[in-house]
Amino acid sequence: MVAVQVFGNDHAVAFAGSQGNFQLNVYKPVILHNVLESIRLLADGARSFNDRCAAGIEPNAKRIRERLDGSLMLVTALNSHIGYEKAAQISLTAYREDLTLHDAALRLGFVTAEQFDTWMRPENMVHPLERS
Amino acid sequence: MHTNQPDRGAMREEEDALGQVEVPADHLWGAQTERSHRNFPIGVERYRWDRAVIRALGILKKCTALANRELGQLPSEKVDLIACAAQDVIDGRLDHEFPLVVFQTGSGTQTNMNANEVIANRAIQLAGGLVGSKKPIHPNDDVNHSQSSNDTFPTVMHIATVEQLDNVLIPAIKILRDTLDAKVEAFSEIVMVGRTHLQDATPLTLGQVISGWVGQLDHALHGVSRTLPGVCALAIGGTAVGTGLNAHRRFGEVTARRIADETGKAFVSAPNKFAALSAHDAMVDVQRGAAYARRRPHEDCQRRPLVRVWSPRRLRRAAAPGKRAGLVDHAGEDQPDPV
Repeated sequence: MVAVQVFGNDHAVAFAGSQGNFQLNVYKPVILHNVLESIRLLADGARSFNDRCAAGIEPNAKRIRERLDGSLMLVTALNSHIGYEKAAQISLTAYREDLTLHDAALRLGFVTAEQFDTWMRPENMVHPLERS
Repeated sequence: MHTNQPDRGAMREEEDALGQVEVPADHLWGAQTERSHRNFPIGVERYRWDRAVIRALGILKKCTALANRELGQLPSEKVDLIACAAQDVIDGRLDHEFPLVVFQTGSGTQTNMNANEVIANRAIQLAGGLVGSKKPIHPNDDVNHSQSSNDTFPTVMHIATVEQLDNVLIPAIKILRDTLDAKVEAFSEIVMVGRTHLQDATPLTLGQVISGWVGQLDHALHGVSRTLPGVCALAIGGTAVGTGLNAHRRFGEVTARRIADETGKAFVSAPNKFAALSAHDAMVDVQRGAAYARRRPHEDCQRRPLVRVWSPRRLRRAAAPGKRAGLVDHAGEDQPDPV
């Protein structure tokens, strides 16, 4: 809501700034009011967000891991080993039949269990290629 | 019946070019302030000038008095009285003497006169004179010496804005930026599902996600900071239309230096006073920078609750019998609010 108010003030200031005639802009007070209100709201909002939210952000590691392990997009890790088409087939099979990627991959016979465990490492997917 | 009541409700006569006006006896403002107070009863409770603006008015009036002395335009005793009274305005001792609102003359004339009248009457008090007598300090001839509303009000706009940007907004954004920056390292090992188009994407670390927010706040800080030089240029010295009529040739430059000394900010005299009076692109620019600064955190705030929703598996679970209706299962969690 702070952002919405500041965006509104932005329109008011731009309009007021365009309203000068000859030697004098005569919308000065409303420009000043809106700029100061924006600054105040933003500063208060940033501090409040900092103190009451950002400073206390703690990840729920268990949930994050569950969501990660359940994500069908991890199949992208197999792209460079078995190709896009087969990887896509694995994820679609897992989705349609409510399987894990592991089970779908093995059922389709595109990888061995060992290969799957070696290649399917989310922690290796967060940086650009480092392996040769 | 009223004879035993204290001064409340008592009035005194003040006078301006249009004639006499009754003003509350326990206040220092004069005839022009009172006229505006009566003629613009618009948003009175909500749109009074706040501390930042009143402080800026005090700074301006103190510094113009000092500049007038430096340039031989006002006698030293008068300058001392004006500077002393203006200091009361700067320090917040006279905030209750500024009753006017935003919606008044578009040049801010009435608020400029409010400052002139209050500082004159406070100076008169300090000199042991009679409030409202305009002796020994006159609101126009002395407090407003070498000035016009047309150059004082834009100067006040810039002083207040620079102080608020530099002392309030920029530090607040920096604090948030640094809080988040500390999390980048702390969460660098936590791998999570990425999300594009609100759907699962390839993984990344929570530290990487937050580093993106830090980068956006750095852009926002730059966007705000780069507007400072524009609002550090002051209109003072231009008087009514930018020509500097009735002011000393060096008045703008000397006053700007005084204001820089008083505030510790990099104020300078605007190189072209005609531009400084006729348009406020620097203020528009500040507002634009502020809106930009909000856009990034706004999106981050919107994103936080979204992180918790929507994946094919979660959709199935949320839709299971006995659960709360809808796509999102927030049982036991706070509902997110837009901030």
